[in-house]
Amino acid sequence: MTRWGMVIDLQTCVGCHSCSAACKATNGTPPDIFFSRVHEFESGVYPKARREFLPVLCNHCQNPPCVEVCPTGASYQREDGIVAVKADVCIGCRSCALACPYDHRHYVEPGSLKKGYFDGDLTLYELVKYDRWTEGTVIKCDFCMDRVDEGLKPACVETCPAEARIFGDLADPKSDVSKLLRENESFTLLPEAGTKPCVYYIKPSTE
Amino acid sequence: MAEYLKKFAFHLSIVPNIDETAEFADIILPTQTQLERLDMGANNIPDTMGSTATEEYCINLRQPVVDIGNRHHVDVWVDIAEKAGFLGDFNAMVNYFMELQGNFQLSPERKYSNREMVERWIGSMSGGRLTLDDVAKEGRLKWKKSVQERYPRHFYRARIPLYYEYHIDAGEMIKNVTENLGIPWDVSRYKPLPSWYPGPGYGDSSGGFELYAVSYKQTFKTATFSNFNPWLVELGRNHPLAGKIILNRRTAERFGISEGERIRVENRRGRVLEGEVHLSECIHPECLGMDHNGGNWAKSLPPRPKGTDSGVHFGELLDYDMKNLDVMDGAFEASPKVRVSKAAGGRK
Repeated sequence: MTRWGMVIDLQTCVGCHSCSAACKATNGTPPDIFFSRVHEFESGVYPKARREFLPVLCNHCQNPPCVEVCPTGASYQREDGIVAVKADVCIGCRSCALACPYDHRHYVEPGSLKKGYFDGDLTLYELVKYDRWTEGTVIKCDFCMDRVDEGLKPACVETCPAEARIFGDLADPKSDVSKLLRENESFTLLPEAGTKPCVYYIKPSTE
Repeated sequence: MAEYLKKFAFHLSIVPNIDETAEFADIILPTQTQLERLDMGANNIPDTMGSTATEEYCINLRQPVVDIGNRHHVDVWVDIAEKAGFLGDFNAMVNYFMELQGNFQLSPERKYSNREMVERWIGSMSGGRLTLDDVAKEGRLKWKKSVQERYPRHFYRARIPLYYEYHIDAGEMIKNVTENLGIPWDVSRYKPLPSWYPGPGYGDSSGGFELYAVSYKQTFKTATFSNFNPWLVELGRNHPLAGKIILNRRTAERFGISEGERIRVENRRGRVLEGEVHLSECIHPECLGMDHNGGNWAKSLPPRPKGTDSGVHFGELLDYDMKNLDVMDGAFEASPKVRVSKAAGGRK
């Protein structure tokens, strides 16, 4: 059985935020909602200082606490591991947002889909894209499952100019993601939470 | 910049939006935006910069997605060339610039549209095999790279001189011309060997002007245009560096400046800008940095996302005069000496 996952190579990520922009362009998330983000921080002291980047998105955990706590079954996990939300079943209680230790659940505030990015009417783009979302519900990254089901990569992976994001089947030992995890030292975020994330990171070089 | 633009006797702007420069124009002619235009070769990378790893060579065709009746800027220029009586020279320049061959060259006396020029360029490049309609199907012209296209530098038969003798001759020619025109012009830098000249403020920290201001681009922004893209603006709002003034942590301590404060940056001529400071270990202690993506103020630009602060404008610190110009290469001093202090009003 396929288990979709992602490996993010922190040795090659250049912090360009293309993933965040591509996610916005593909999913048309409302203002202030980013499914894909890049955290930046500095390490060291001048002159031995450097900028470091940590791209984040939903971890599509093997033990997703957000699914467990959902009272209506709106949050669900597909057999291939993708965690998603059925908008027509979600009542917007935000239990999932509280349960997610990674802050990757986003509540669509009532009225926010009418405001858009600019003053005045929504643009044609916003009208088309916002049709997918429902005010008063929770939305999240679904690994671009519509694209994945068509045999495409998630938008953030497709667009990454450094090819720092690699998407594939963790259950297939021959896949690129499995190979990378075998050949490199990797980690997941907040392992102590016991969620078993399916987004892995290859450690950045310390040189 | 406003004072500088006033010096021009006549100023024509052909623009899709009335931007900062067009605000000063005597005449503004409207033209198409990128979404309305037909352009061959949009966003191309020159062969010397293209990756040797890519299999194919590709030239993009930008195609219009809407037609709202505006004209392509090339069509506007063709009209001007015809009415001003230099259509023949204009067409000759197009032939040269687009490297049009044989029957695809423009005749000196005929008027061509932008579309016809694109049509001829495609025909000329493909040796008559392809038309605009052919290329429009895929939106690009591509072919498998030859060895020469993949490794172009190997095939350049150029000599790189160590002794630039012609600089001496060029300096003398310029001296003759400027003397005849009565313009005082320093040609002492026209030397055949590389020489180092310090910038105008180098080494002089008197009056508290001890920092060099430097600028850079954010990876996700291209100049000020990006301020009209809502997603990029939103990214900038959540970014630790975008739109901020960056100062080394120890330097800031010396000036009593702390993270997030509004500070005042002043150059020797008294030009001032204010902005929010971000303290960093990733900048030299003698430098002060900021991106150069900010400063839009023109009234008729496209709508900007709500709550957009366009950030600091590095250009405010530059002096556009002969004292700050290298007369040899035409480069302006782009790292002026500045001094910093807390802005009145303090924290943002």
